[in-house]
Amino acid sequence: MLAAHNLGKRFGPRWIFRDLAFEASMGQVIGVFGPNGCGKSTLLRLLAGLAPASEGKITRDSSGDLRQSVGFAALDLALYPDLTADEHLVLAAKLRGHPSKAEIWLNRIALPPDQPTREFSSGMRARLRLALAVQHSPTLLLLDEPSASLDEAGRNLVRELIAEQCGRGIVVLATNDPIEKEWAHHAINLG
Amino acid sequence: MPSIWAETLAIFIKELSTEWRSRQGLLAGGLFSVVAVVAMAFAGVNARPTPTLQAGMFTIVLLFAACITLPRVFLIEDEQRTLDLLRLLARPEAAFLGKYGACKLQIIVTATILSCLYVFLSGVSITIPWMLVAALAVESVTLAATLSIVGVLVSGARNRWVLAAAVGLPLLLPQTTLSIGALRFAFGEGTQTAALQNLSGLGLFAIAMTSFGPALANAMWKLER
Repeated sequence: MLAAHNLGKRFGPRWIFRDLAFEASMGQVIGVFGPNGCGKSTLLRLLAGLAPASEGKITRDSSGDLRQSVGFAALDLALYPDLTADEHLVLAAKLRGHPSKAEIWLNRIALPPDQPTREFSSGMRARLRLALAVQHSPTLLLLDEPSASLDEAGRNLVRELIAEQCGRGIVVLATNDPIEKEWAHHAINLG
Repeated sequence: MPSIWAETLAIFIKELSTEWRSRQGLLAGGLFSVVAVVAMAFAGVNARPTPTLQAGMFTIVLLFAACITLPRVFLIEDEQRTLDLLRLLARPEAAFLGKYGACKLQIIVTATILSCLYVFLSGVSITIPWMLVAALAVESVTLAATLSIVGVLVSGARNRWVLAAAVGLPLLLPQTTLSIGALRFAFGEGTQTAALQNLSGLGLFAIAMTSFGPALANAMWKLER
């Protein structure tokens, strides 16, 4: 279960959003829609625990470590430029205490194992961010514009990952893409 | 969940492999050290600086080499915008300890190279070698701990390099004084009792900074529940 109660975020005197309330249960895909600057990415950062809410409360089912229960992939989530995709996946698995399935994931996301990410295209980086977000089987998956800069195969991968996630938890999907909007079971309209 | 030591080791290895590939920190610190020591050797060709002055010059070069090399380990996460990824993956305490370990190793390498260069080029006589080794080891650990604390404190700040200088100054001044006090004895001036007191003070400073670091990292980087 994921719930937000009277959630609000402001930067200085300006409120990005206020009095936001929603609930989601296992198997649901929640779409977060709205124009640029309405706070979609900010809401996902709040749900990931990367930023504090200015008011209100977020309730997550998982009482344990957020690193284990949350997967987060966003366009502005930077990767280590000197590390390879394989090293990213192995590092993430070690830090979260899961067996590394780097080889399987590298095949699935079709990335070379030994190329530093500084040489990656934006689409390749997006694929790696997706793998990092889901390789530990989180119960809450937060995706910010997941298909942006992805080709058709990449879009299919996102769709597959969302379908798999629905079997074990909740997906929150921030997007303005008309195709991605159709994947959502419920919508939160900001702005 | 992995132990904090397993996470610390993973971060430590990540830092070392990143530094090994770019070598930016070591090159910057090494270049500065060479230039500073050569300049001092030229300036003191016909002069005979006192051991205290020698200790002071050496400590200052080491301090600046550390200031060039070490904050990168923390501030690079901000500059590359990878701090969010680090927070999503690693326990803050483990992130601090892993990075602090990498800082220690880097400054120990820098201090070793610097001391060899300094002794060779300045012709300083080392009367108590064990004190030189002890002072260098403890000063390196203290510098790594202090600059790691500064790195955590200023990460995420808008003017982080300016803030790093402002926060670092009061933390670095006392340890610089203590380091000079220990090194001057190694170079033949002062008493053993005073040198040991300075060394103990330096060590306690390092212990305080090291114990404070993980708690500070937790307060700064922990994910919001």
